[in-house]
Amino acid sequence: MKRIILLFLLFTCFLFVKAQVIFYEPMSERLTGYKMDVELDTEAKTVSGSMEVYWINNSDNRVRDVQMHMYLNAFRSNKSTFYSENNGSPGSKEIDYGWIEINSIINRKGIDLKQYMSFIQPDDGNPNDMTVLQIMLPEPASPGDTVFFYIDFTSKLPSSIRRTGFNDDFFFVAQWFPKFGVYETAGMRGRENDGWNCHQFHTNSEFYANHSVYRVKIKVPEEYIVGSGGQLISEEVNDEGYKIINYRAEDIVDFAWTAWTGYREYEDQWEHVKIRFLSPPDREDQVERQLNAVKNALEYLNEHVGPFPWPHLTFVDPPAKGGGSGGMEYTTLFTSASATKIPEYILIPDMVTVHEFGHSYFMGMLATNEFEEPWMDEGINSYWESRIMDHYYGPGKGIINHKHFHLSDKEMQRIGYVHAANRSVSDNSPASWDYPHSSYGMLSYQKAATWLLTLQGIIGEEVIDEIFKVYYKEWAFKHPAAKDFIEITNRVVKKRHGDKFGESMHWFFDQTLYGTGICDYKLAGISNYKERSFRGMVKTDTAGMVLRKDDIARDSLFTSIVKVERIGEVQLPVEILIHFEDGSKVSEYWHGKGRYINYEYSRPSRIIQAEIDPEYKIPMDVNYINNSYTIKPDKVPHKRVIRKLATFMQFFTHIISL
Amino acid sequence: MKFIKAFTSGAVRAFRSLKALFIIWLLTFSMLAVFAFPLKSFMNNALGNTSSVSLLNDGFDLTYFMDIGEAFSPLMAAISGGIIIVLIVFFFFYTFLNGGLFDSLLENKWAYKPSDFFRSSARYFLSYIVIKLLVLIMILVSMFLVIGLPLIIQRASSSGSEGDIFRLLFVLRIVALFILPIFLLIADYSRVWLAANDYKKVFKALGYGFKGTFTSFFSSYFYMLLMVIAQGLYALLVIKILSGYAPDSSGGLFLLFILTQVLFFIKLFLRAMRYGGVAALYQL
Ligand SMILES: [Zn+2]
Repeated sequence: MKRIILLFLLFTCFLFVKAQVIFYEPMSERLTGYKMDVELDTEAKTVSGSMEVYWINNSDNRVRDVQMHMYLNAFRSNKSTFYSENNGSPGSKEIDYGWIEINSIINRKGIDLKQYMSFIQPDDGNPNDMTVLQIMLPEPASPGDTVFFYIDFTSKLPSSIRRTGFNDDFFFVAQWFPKFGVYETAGMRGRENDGWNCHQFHTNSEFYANHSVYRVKIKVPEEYIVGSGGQLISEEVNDEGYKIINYRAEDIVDFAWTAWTGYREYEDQWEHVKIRFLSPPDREDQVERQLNAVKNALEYLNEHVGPFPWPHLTFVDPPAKGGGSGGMEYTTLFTSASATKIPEYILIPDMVTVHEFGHSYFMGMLATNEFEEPWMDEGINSYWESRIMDHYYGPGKGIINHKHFHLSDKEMQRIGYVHAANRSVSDNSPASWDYPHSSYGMLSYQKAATWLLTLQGIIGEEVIDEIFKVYYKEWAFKHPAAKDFIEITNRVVKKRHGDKFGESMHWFFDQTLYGTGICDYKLAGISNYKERSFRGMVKTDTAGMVLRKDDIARDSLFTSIVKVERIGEVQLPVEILIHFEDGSKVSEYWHGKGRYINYEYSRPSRIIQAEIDPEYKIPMDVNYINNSYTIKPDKVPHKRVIRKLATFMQFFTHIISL
Repeated sequence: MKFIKAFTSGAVRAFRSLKALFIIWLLTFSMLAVFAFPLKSFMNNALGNTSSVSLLNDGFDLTYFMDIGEAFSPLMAAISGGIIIVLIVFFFFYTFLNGGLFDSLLENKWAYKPSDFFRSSARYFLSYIVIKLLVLIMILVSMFLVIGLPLIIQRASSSGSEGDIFRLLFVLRIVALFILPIFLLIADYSRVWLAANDYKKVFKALGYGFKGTFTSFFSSYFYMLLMVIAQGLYALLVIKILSGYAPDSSGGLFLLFILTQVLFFIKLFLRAMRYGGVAALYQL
């Protein structure tokens, strides 16, 4: 009953007129909502104004406090957790620092809550960190209650743009307003008790939030061009030379915006999605490829994962001076990264666009906790990025597609992991800031993408697609955790493969997600022996010991042995392809558990070559070179490389000798 | 016309010094083989009996090299360190051989003896090193002034857009191309003077390098500019030919070898022609 009153309340007082609604049926629970009215001061580099926000207590408890992120306080001093972790500093001048201040805060009854506010440090107890604000409620919120705050705040943007900040007249405004943590109930993401999940701002960490409705009114000087994650409702210029823009966004987890005088605007359409692209004036040559990249990603993820529901999408290619805001995602707004004159065959700008758009699924809709399980957004998203890039830009060529030199996105992920010196330092379970020895990026992006590609290799593309479709269907606009993804994988694999991979896929996740071992299979060698006819001394009745030589009928047969070894700790099923001299081939399947296996054949033709994993289904294998063995190695290709290299040196040394 | 004469005489002199060029080719080729040979056997070891070399047939595949590197990372470190050594060794080596070459170009006759070649190489070696290092420093400093400094200034004034930087870089590169011949002329005139006069007087030679460059500036300058452009175009042609040719058989490899050495010999000839032209201008 309370819920019904509440919904009524939401639709009347908070969510305004029907014409502005994006989704007639909410996509998410919308436990939080924000209505903001702010102004950008382009001289003071501040955004200030007021906000009306609500949080709904959907637990069965009376909740005594509310916790909010005050992310910009990470830039308040060099002693914040953010700067302690990277040993840096926001800068030397006053203008360099960033901070956020609550000027006033009252609840619906008009009670001033400032006296109930304090900063807490749930992660590290660092007293200098002011990125999490706790507000004790004058009366606890009962189950089903909606808590309203009316807040006046000022946000000062930092000068060194780390996702958010300003440079000159360029502004990227992100993590900029007091924002609710997520109140998690017992059982959610494996939690034992109800409570707030509201982490401090760390160097190596992204975010976590409820899907919310945002109604944001922004005032900027007229000459600024603004982009945001919202749908444009209205835009007008007043007599004093200011632009007042109204945005509305629904069911997104964060609202960010940018303002710069220099943007060029482009528009495009993909099915129901109106795409708006803001780019610096000197990058006309990069516009078409960027738009194509985002349309490719839209098409692929719609087909393979689930629909992109929003009718609007804005993305921004920040100018060089705002480079620190590039490559970041806010669901219906994201930033790419490029530069003018990047040749067509270097696909890195396209890759960044595909990647950042991909986050609208992996953490935008499937709103995982990026603080605690970074592989679930970065790893899964890098996995899809690699599939999209290699699909649209050529298999084996998703990152560099040059006539003489190429690199696929899948390989880029793999190389990043298998050739990292610290590849075994941790598994994928730590929180973002707890990854040891600078392994956060490598393990949560590349290793996770690589073992997901390996999972695909083992169970097949169709099956993994089904896993993601189910994952989307059951968890979009909710907050899934690793256990939920594993549970779906177990269910779908069982349905599609029966008992082929055992009772569940835990053996796989235990070795990859929760394992640190490396995978390396080696083709140790091939032996071919002619099967011999008998030749030896036999005792006869008549002549005593005599030498007997049987005829050579069986000599045409070969006994051939292929020797396979497992050098790494990780045990995965592998295929082995054996080539005989007469052109015939035999394919073997090994569960990969022992330390070695031999395959023996008796055939009229000998073995000339054998390969483990001939279709490169196991990218976790740290060394492909030892995966194959041939009795007649082809030396031409690498001789050719050495010859060309030597010629290059010959010319180069001569040229520089004046 | 001095300018035309420089070309024709340069070509004739280079042609008459074929013997010297052959000596240079033979020696540098053997030097290079000394470095390339261990690389080859290391590669053979690293690859063992793998069949994944076929990955190379579709162009340069980074995965493949990273996986080799994993198995032989000390070798990779050795190669990258080794390249520096190769560069330094060859720098001295060519400086040495240039002595004989300049002498041969000045002599300008078929009958030039290999023994003379080596004697001159040894004699001029130290002086040539000094000339070369000083001219190299001049080139680096001027390139910094012409390219580096404007770019730094451009960066500092944050108003400059990316496109402006590219346009600026384009212009600066053209400017650099037009400046480079002056330094090459100084280096070449100095060396010619030194070979023709007193091989111990390095600074006098350098002084003449400047004088020679600026006395008949236009014919010298345009001659050198055209030679620089010709060599640049030739380098592009070589890249085009070699990147387009990827033989997949031993016979093809042998042809590749012959082709690369013929192309390199032409490169040596063009360089000798440049020196020869300056020698001719000096002797006119
Ligand atoms: Zn990402």
